[in-house]
Amino acid sequence: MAEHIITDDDIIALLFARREDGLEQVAKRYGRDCHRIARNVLGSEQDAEECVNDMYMKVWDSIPPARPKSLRSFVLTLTRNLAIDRLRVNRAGRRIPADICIPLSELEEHLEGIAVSDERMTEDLRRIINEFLDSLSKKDAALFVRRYWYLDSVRRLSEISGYSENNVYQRLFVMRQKLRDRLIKEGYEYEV
Amino acid sequence: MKQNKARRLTEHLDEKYVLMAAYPEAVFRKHRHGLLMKRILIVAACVAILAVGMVAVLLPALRSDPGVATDPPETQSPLSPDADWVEDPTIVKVQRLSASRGFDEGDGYTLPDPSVSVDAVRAIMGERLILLRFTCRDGETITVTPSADGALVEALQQELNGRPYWHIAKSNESGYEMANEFLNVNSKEELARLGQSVTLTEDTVLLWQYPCYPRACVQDNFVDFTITDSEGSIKGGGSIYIGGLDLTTVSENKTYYSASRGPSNVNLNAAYRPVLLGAYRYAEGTEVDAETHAQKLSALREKAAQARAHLFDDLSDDDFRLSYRVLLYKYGTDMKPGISVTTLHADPAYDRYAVVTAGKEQKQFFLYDGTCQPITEWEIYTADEYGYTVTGKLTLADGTVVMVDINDPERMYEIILPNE
Repeated sequence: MAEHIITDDDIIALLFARREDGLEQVAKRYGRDCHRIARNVLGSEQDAEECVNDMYMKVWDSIPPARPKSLRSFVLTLTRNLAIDRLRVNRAGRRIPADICIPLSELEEHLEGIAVSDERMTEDLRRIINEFLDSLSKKDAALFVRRYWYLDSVRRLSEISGYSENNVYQRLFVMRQKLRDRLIKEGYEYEV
Repeated sequence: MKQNKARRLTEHLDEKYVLMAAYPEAVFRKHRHGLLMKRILIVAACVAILAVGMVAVLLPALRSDPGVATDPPETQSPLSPDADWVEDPTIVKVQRLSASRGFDEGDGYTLPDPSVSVDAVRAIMGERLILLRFTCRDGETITVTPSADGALVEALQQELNGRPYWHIAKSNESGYEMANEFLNVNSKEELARLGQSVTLTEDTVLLWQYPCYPRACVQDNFVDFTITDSEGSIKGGGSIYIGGLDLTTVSENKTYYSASRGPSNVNLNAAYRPVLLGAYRYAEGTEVDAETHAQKLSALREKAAQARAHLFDDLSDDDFRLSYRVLLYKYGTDMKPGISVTTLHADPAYDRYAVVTAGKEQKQFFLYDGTCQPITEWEIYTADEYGYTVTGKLTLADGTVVMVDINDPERMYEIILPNE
């Protein structure tokens, strides 16, 4: 008798067939990861939960027609974007302290004078950021991504990595500086 | 504060980095292991220097004036907050066991303070037993009451495949021999009995068979227990943390085979990381109120949770190899010719059910089943660069098709894909 393990493709197929158990599978497989990243951004369990629910809705609306290559990456990215958007709304309503998303703020500081907002540069930016990550050691790359994509706290990174918090700060600082240098070298001149 | 540029830039990260960073513990494992060793060496060196220094200082002094009275040893004030507290709720990392090596008596951890009543702790992962040895003081009778609440009970209600037991056992030469079974939970009705107390006299061993196989039960679960005396006064307590590598799978439809247990709907070949346990006992004659007791338990849990982050620090490569054993199941037959990818290890215990083991250094899969079938074809549906998540299909030389699904963020896999 043929048994079948539910794969990402199966989940996508369920969603294409408009079957709600596809969402259940998404929740089962990726719900916890998504909740964690939403909580990192929003700093609130309740907001994170609502955000993840929004993500399910978004998945339902997006697939079909979208057929993501990696469902995990797709749902994590959706969650992250939704969480950041929600953070902005919350901030506007002053429901949360302004500095709650510290990772993005500290990266932003190093991008002062760098122009990265032109839509035409998207592909180039993609190449630069990924080449930059390629140039890092695996550990540093993991630190960078955890900090600026997953928006983890330095304390959490210290726990994960075994580095002291100071060491984590220092490494992140050097990486931000390297990224800035690379952007400048690639011609992303200072804004006037 | 604007964060548009930072957001825009990080949005362009390749998904391979997102997936890689989803499992940072695996990335940093080696570093942390090395760091731990370094710290141990530094501490050892400091202790040695200190010891030499003390001998150098004290020896001449004692020789020159042996009659000088020394200050009496400092005693702890009975009024200090923790005076009644045998303060060593050390989180004990319990011995790791593997199915192949069995239970090694000499390799376990014990609580460092002999006055702590839980004086030996063992976990037998293969048999899913947690042994708590409570040695009572002379002539004393204590009662141990586990509190099974929250996530654990919820998980048990969902997964009544779980069969938690309290056993009372006596130690013998070969270890522990189970005596009368105390509790056996097979239904929701019986679940309520889980919190039932067991009364122990001296040198009694309490075995708690943890229902390891419901997946939910082995992730971030704590079970507290309280020790009371015959008067009902709280005498101590502890918190057991159960967690770590849970590679079990449960299915209503699939049948797994285990060498020791035969067919089951539960994959029991999983490798478990051990149990962490913190325990304490109050000094004799101390009366502790329930609130203080609850606070102590809470503190213990917190320490256990912190220690969880280092659960994998002391594993060797060999242990990882064992831990990566993942049971797969036969999917069907679909004869397809192909190339032989690797030489396989034979393990008759697994019959024709394939077990994939990713060795840490080998950079390839080993597949072993009863017939030692080579993998002839790989079809990976999804896999990140580092092999932390893999779904796919293996075709063996005899046409057997094996489905692979390794995809759980809470697990610590390091499956290395074969070179294309």
